[in-house]
Amino acid sequence: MKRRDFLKFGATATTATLVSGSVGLLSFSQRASASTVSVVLNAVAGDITMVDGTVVRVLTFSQNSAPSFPGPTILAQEGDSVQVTVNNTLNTSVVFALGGTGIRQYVSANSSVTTTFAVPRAGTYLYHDDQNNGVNRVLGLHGALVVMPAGYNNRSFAGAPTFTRQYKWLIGSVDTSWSNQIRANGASYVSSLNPNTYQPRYFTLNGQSYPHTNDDPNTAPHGLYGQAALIRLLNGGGMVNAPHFHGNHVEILSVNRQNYTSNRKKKDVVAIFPLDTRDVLLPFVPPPDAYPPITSQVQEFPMHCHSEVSQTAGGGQYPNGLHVCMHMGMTPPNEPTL
Amino acid sequence: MACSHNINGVGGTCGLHVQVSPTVGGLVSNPAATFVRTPFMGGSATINGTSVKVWGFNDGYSGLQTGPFPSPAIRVRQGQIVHTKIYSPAMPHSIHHHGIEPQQIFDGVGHTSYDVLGFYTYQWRPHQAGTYMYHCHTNTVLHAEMGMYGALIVDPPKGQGWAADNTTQYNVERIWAVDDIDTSWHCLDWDAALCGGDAGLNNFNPDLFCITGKGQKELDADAALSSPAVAVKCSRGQTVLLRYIVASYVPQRITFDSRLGDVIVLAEDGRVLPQQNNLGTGAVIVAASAERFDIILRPNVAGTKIPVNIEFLDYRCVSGTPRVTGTIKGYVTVT
Repeated sequence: MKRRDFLKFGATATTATLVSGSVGLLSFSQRASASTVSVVLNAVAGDITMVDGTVVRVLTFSQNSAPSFPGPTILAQEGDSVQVTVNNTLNTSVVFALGGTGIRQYVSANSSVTTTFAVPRAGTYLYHDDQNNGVNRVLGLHGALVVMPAGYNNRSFAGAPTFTRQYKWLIGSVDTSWSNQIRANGASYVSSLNPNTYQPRYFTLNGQSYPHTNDDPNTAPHGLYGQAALIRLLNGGGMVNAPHFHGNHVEILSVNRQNYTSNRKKKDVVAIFPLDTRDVLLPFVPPPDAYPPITSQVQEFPMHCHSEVSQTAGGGQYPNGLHVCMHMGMTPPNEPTL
Repeated sequence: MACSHNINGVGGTCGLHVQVSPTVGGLVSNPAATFVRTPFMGGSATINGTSVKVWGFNDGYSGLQTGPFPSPAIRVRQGQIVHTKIYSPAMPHSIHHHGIEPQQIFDGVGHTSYDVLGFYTYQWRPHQAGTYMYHCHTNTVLHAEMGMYGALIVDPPKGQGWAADNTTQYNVERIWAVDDIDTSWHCLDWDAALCGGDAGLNNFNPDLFCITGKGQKELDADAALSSPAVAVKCSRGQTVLLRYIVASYVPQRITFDSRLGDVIVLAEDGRVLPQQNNLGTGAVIVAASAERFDIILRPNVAGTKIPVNIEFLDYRCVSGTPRVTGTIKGYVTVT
């Protein structure tokens, strides 16, 4: 099990918060004033191990020299500027592009570029390498940028309902054939991969598959009844997903940063295409169709993608894919600073 | 991964939580509605002229190894205490009432409750009218594809004839469970790849498409314009409630012919929208697996077999731009 290992710099100095890509549960405290957030992302190649032990080659953004699938989460607040230094160790170019914005920085092979941008308005953003029709992104070059609204620790935008905890759920998928071709031919082979040949065999949430997702309280939501969770869904992978929530319908707060301040839909399936983001509120209410009613008992309900091919690992082993459970009626073992 | 082949005589149960006729407390003795569903695994369906092996549920206690595709609908009224009884004598199966949120032991998910061998009773009380579905949640990736699903309709307090908002009255109702089938999956074993190995269950390439079990050939051959019970037939000015269930694994793009008039979404996923969503004429809905839409049509233009064009999109979509992998047309005839 991976433990929460976020890095947090002092609030008085130039402040940056980078959270390990495997961590979903985000800890955030509003700083008194905006500042410049400094982030170093190393574009690296490396191996990671899938749920069934299969080792795959990925290309990722990382805080160090080890691969990070997905890349670390950048946590900022409105008014901040982000200074990103991309150290590209690969023998092919990479791009740091921020979905839904015009922010895009090209970095040549084996070189380093620093760029600074003012953060966009509060919301959930996918940063990714947009080259080769998505091939680079799907191989692992993606991560999340979360912008908190000015003045709030417990809302995703001014006018949004409040939450007790917030989670980043970044969806990924892995094609072992593509991975092997990159291993054999090097990172520059990305331009030779045809996006229409993609055949994912592993399906991940924050880089993990079930049951590892569910063993990790940084990804598996926990809470007492009434402790709503904000879930920031992002799709960095290569398939169309249909996250289905058992136990509670979720309230749709934002679709690709279009915010709904009223008349919000309640859904048990949240369709999400590649590159998309969805912010949803999981209310953590007792399951409403239970009889006899649930009051305080602990309940465990799955969230899984209903495009059921994603419920496999290596062509089988249901349900070891994009699947996790919500743990209702109990707090997480590692409570972050809220 | 080690396999256990001797649990209750059933092989390949890795990762399952097989229980023989589990008993739990809290069941009422006088539910307002009771349904019995018996799995079968030797059925066949003719879709677009092609015979394909299907599995599903029969209504009632049954020794039959054949049955309907999709499985018979479950229909209840909001607020009723309901029992769904599964009788699974040969192989473990389960029933998940998709979109219904009961307590954990009645949720029908094997690994958070039971994969049932023998008898089990699911107790639930739907608090919101709308369109749901039920399906087997055991080795779901295979069992739902094989046809182990059916519609689940919760009527509002006023009963049938009224939409989920309990306010909108309809004249004609149809359930469209729109599915994709990869026939290469349909000879796999019950426990395919549960214990490891590669059954190709990540690789889905549908070659048959259907609306509530009927393919394009069956729909096109429908001389009565309302049979099979998929095609909509109504008079001008009547109100049609189309209960659209995305039963496919791949996403769909649904385009309504402009002659059908305004397309009004009244509810999604068993929840009435805070405001009816009028998508206008010629509307397009893009939807993903297992979403449901309660759609109101009030066509005012007479026409025979006015189409609703459904495109199935490949789930593999690296670029973000979907590719069409198949199509089917449903029909509305307005007199």
